[in-house]
Amino acid sequence: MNADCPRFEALSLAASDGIGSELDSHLRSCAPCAATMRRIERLAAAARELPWVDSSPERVGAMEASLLAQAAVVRQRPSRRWGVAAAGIALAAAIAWFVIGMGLLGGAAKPRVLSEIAAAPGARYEHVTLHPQHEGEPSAEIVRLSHGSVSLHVEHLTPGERFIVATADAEVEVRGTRFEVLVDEGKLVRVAVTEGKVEVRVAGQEPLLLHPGESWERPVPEAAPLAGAVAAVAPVAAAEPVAAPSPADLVPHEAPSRVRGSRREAPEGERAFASAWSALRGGDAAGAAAGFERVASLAGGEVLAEDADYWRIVALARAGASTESEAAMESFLRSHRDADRSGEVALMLGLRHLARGDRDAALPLLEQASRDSVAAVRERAVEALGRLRQ
Amino acid sequence: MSVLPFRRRASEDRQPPELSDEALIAACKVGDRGALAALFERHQRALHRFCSRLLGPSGEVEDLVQSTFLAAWTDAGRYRGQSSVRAWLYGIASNLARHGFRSEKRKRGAFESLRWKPAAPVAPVDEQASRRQLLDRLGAALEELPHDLRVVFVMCEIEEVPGAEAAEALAIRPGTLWRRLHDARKRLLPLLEGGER
Repeated sequence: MNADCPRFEALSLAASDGIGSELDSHLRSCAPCAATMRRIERLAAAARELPWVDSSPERVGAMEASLLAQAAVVRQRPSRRWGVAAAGIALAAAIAWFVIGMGLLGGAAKPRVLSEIAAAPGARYEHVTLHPQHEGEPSAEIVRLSHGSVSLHVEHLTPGERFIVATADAEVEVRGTRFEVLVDEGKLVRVAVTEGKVEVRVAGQEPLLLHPGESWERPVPEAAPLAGAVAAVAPVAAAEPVAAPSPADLVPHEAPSRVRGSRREAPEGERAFASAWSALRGGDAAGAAAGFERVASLAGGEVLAEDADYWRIVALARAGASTESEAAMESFLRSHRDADRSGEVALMLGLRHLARGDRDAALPLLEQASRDSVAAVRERAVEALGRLRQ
Repeated sequence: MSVLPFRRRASEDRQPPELSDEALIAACKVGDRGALAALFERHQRALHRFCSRLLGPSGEVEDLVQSTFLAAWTDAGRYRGQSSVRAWLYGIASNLARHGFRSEKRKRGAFESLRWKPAAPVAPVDEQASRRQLLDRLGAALEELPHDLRVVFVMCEIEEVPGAEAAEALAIRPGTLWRRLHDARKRLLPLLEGGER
């Protein structure tokens, strides 16, 4: 070593942060410093070889089921008021999202779209902005909706602005409207327009322009009612063209078609659901429970009532009303025997009984849950049955 | 069907786009447990590896992993996006380990490291034994490092999280992070053959 040699800390930093040209030049001519760098690298390589024991797939499944069960009842902390998603995050996290421009950002003016997006529980989407790459190209706000329902309000767009909701198989482009889009696992299911005009472009089909009061929908598989769906689409074995919708049910169409004045699940029920949901997110669990109870009485369709009944269970649990929560679980299982969530609710109720030592009550519920379509629910139930039978 | 003129991804992509980590966190904020499940499935193994090296071989690793994801769920609203979600999870685990798991760690001796089994070697037998001994010594020494030094070493050196991200996830200044990493290296380097500088 000589006086020109950097300190160990400088070499250590360079090993992690990158070697500059000056240090690189020194290392080429200084054997001790080069040896130190090699030792730091060897230490890292050895550390990465340190063995660790992975969990078995069964344990991982049990962990996931336990985590999800706990997540259903713990309270989430609200966002920090000043903590809006930082640069690099494309998705707006909150229920309402506004972009305000028109001069506030300075520099060369770029088109800005004023929009508001309200996502129903369980909806999965990303919101990105695409800036024009070439002169004359429009900018675009893209909402990539992969599952669930969002309600959107988009201010009137100027030339040079586009607002598009994209799914795996379709695009819905708007021109200053209020409308709703429902997607099931990437497939466009329904579009309903309240104000303005919306063009619906589905793969393999002619584009369709919807006006206020009009909606488009297509058959969905019987697989599952959607969480937080704003409209119920009755599953049918074969799609049939229908001239006029029935007053009580929505009738799916095989090909996209304009449905004038189609009757949807009671808007009042949807509004009540959104209000109850806001209460739940805001920490008013008791208010949310009352709200969801009201939704069930207003909802004209099975899907919304089922969602409301499920979230009422969660709200009651968060409010600490365990007796009412269990009663709500029992009611759910009676009213929605074939629902997708019946296994999950059976698991929750079965675990409650098991915790109290009531094995007779727990057993049939856990057995029901052990046949659920969701692996995490099944595995948790099987684990609980194992304990019960010990 | 029309295609946006500036769509960047391949038009042949027929699958729904996989949501980014940040999108999953945002969905967690609004109570989407499906997003939590997706986050778990995506990061469980890496987090388990991180926690294993943080705590040493112990049944508490699974508890720490589960507690970390539950904390991520309850605190999803506080994720600010200034580090990757993976680093953020490591930071949560580190914090939980500091407050809740350290006392358990102290009860175990350094000889716990003898339970560690090296990966199948390909070198000649005497080199295998030498390597095994080095890993045993390194594992024991890592376990004996102070928590703050161990966290930084595991996060930056083993899990290769960039320094700036790690500092953000641990809520410390970059200078503090580097100082801790230098200290950790100084303490561990003598384990290697060849002695100190």
